[in-house]
Amino acid sequence: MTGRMVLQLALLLALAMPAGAAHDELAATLRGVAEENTRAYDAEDTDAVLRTMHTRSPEYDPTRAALAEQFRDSDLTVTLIDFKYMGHDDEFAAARVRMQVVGSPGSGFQDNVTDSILLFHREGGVWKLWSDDVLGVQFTGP
Amino acid sequence: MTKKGIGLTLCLSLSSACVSQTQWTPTVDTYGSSRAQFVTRDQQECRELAMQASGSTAGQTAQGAIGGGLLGAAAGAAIGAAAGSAGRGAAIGAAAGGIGGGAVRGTQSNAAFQRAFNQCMRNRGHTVLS
Repeated sequence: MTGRMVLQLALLLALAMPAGAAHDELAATLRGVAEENTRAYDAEDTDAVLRTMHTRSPEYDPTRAALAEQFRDSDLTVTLIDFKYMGHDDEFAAARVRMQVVGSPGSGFQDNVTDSILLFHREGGVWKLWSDDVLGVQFTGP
Repeated sequence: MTKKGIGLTLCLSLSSACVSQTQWTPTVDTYGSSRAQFVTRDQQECRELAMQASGSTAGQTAQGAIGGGLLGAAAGAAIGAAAGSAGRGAAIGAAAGGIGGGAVRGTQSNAAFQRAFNQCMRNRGHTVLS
């Protein structure tokens, strides 16, 4: 799924966003998935990170491969600093998130905050990360 | 693997623009050319020059093609590793002019790279077809 498709789907989902308890419950569920992704990443727990991802996501294999290198060579702190539920249909749900990634001092890592739209998709009845589209990056130092 | 190595590796896996700038080579017609034996050498040198001319540092290519590849926290980690020495406080994408700005920058950077690469090869006496 291309970035443009992600954005279009996210906007459609946002327009279709229902109100009420179901909305709040789903938003909380999706937020939990995003939080678990960042928590697991922070703990460098590859299996736990992958459990937050849909196994048929086009980004699953590239991410799994990258995690091995990132965890081996970096010591990063990841924080979910904002989460805004946008909407859903029968298959997908969307949220806009901001994640902060900070490297260890002197590592040469460029600390940043990414602003992304995450798409979620059910797998086995469980909402998981399907894809994302990074809207922008704020480099924060060092 | 060093941080720079990580960044380059991730850049290659993440970024269509990055991949194309690393692998893309203009098509050169060597028929009747007295400089045919220099094509490979000139391509290597022109690639480096085109990277500089288009501002295609590892960080910028990563920034320019951040729309896909890695998911969740891993995306920000890859961007930070690839960006390396990008300027403090720099911002791209939404903060720089709207949704999709990062991808637009990548496309522009890629086109500038190809133009510079082609011009460099022509300046060295090669017939560039694309």
